[in-house]
Amino acid sequence: MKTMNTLRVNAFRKPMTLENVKLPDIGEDDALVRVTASGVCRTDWHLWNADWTWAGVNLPIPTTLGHEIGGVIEAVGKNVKGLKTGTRITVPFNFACGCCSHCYSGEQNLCDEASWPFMLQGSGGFSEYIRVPNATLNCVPLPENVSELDAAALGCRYMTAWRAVVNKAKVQGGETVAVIGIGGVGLAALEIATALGAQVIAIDNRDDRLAKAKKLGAVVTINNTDLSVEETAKKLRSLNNGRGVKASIDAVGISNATLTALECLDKGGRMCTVGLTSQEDHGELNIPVDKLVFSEWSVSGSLGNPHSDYPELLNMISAGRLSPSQHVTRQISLSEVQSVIDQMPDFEVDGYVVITKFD
Amino acid sequence: MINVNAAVVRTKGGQFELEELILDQPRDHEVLIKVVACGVCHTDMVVRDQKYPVPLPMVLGHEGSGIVEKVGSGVNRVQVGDHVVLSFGYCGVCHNCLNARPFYCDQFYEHNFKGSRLDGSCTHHTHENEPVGGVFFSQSSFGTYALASESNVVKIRKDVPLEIMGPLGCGIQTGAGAIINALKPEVGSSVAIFGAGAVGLSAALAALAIGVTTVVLIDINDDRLAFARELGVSHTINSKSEDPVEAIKCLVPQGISYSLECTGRPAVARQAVEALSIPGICGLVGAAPMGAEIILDINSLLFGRSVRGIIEGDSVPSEFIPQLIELWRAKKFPFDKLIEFFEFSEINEAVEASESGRVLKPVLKIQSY
Repeated sequence: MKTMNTLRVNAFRKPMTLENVKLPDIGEDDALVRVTASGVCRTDWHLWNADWTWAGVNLPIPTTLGHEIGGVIEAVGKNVKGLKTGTRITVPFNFACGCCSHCYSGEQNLCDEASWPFMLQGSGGFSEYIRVPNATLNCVPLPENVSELDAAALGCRYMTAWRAVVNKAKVQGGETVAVIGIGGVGLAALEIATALGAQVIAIDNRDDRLAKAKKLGAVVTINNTDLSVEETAKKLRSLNNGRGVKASIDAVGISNATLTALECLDKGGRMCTVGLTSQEDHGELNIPVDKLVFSEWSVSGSLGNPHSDYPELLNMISAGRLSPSQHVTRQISLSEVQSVIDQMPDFEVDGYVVITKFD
Repeated sequence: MINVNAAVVRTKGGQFELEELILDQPRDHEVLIKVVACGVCHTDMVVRDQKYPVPLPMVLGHEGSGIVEKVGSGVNRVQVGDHVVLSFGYCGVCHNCLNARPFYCDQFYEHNFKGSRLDGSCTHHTHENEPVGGVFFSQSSFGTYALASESNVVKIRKDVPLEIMGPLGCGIQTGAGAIINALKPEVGSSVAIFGAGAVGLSAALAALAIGVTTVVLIDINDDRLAFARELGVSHTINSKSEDPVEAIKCLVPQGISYSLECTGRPAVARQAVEALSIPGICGLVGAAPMGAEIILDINSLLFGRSVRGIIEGDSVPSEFIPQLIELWRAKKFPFDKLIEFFEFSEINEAVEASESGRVLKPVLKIQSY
């Protein structure tokens, strides 16, 4: 019997264990995928930390985390179309059903039956092999010059930034955009907005991150350490011809960052937030709503990226206009994942970390 | 094995003959429908006349409504007893389908005109085991029973008359959707619709429903124009007796920003573009023979005028059909005024009534419920 290595969460906030288990069985509509690259993301830490229960997220225990997958089809069920052994694929933000109202409207990320790799047994990405349900829909073949490493780096952060910038904040070439928080998502948002021809103002409280932002094309950087929300917004205007920005992205989620993203807007500006809060804020935020009315600000949330928008994103990577894998700072093994998770609370992880060794 | 009484076309341009056929049991992801009623649509005649390369003999009909009789394995969107409208077929996984554009599915032909399932198997046979084409628009609803795909079955509420709903699956959604989904004329704007058939009048009703204040109907049939006026359009033009482009300029001095071409006639399409203000957009909806071309004046187009083709009203049926039913319930979209009922055995009279222009939307009553 073939076995595989997998990393298991057996209890919240306790070290994950490396186990050798049977490969997952696949049904007629599924695919068995050999994982060759798998990203480690702040979401994995949040889940392991039992966060987001206030938003209805309940991780089943035991489970395998990991949801940023690049791999190769090993086997397909008899009903699966368009995929065969050897096809290189990635998995979108969530598994979708394809036949609910949202899927029919092209918003598979909002699928009524949405599920995630870590919510199903045998599908979490910290594993040598995974089962992808409804594979015809949920496996996205990779273009020839997009690697599985690109796919894993593309993972949840990068695709989330893509939807936020392109479809929610609807950044247009020539606009000035503020990105708050140059972590995994913010870095991607900056790269994507710049690729679209926008001028990006990067805001963070760490100089090393701002230096990275400058290298990636940010036209202005602002270190907001010890600055209030209003002071940050004032500083931005002083560096932007006295105006706020047309669009902003909150790539952090902590209330200070979300409010900063709002206050930096010009009248008529559009803010999109993809950050999620932590134990401190418990999912709630106070916003200056009268100011929102007087300024005609709009606020949107953005979640992952629907299957329908993968071709455009992959085309940009294939054409060399975007490079998620440039942000990969470490390639690790399964046994090193816990040490990365342990660095998350203090925001010590730099760039993207991808598992490429499965022991 | 299911016995079905179906209307079959065996020869090009021939009559519809009722025959006793055998219908397959529903396979994986298929749904067997007891057909309560089915509309007659121009596309049925286009195929009867072999203007599209669809093999005969064939069971046509693609505006079916009915009740779910049986479901194949894997079906969980509907269950036995549900009231449903059948619409067009699509694959669900190509780039267009994933982007909520099933009407431009990469495999639209295979799912609607092939005459068999994708794997080549036939759904209908005579009692002598001769295959008969089916799967027309994934339904072939000119029959007491129809076999549909889970994806083109649209569940509707049970407290509305099922027998009027079939046409929503094609003709009505094509006209209404061209306005509501594709052209999207603003509140208080103006629309000119060329062709006062079922599609054009559905478009007119939809335009009125969404707040378009100037709706001009152009046709050559005075009876249809009179009916359009009864429905509430603001202006009608008989293009046999006047030049519609000039007439529109007089009737609507501020200009028409949106027009819809529902006749399939190249000369009319040209008028529909010339009638536009600057800027303006013309939607092409009318089906024309293969190879038909339109001549357009470049300088006329240059000034912000666009032309775009629209299939099935850019409709995602599972979303749009229930919306149209709600509009009907609110008495804002009385599409049933276009309908005249015929018995199933009167199918040839129904077809003739449609072709002569006497009836806008014939509906065959097939099974009671």
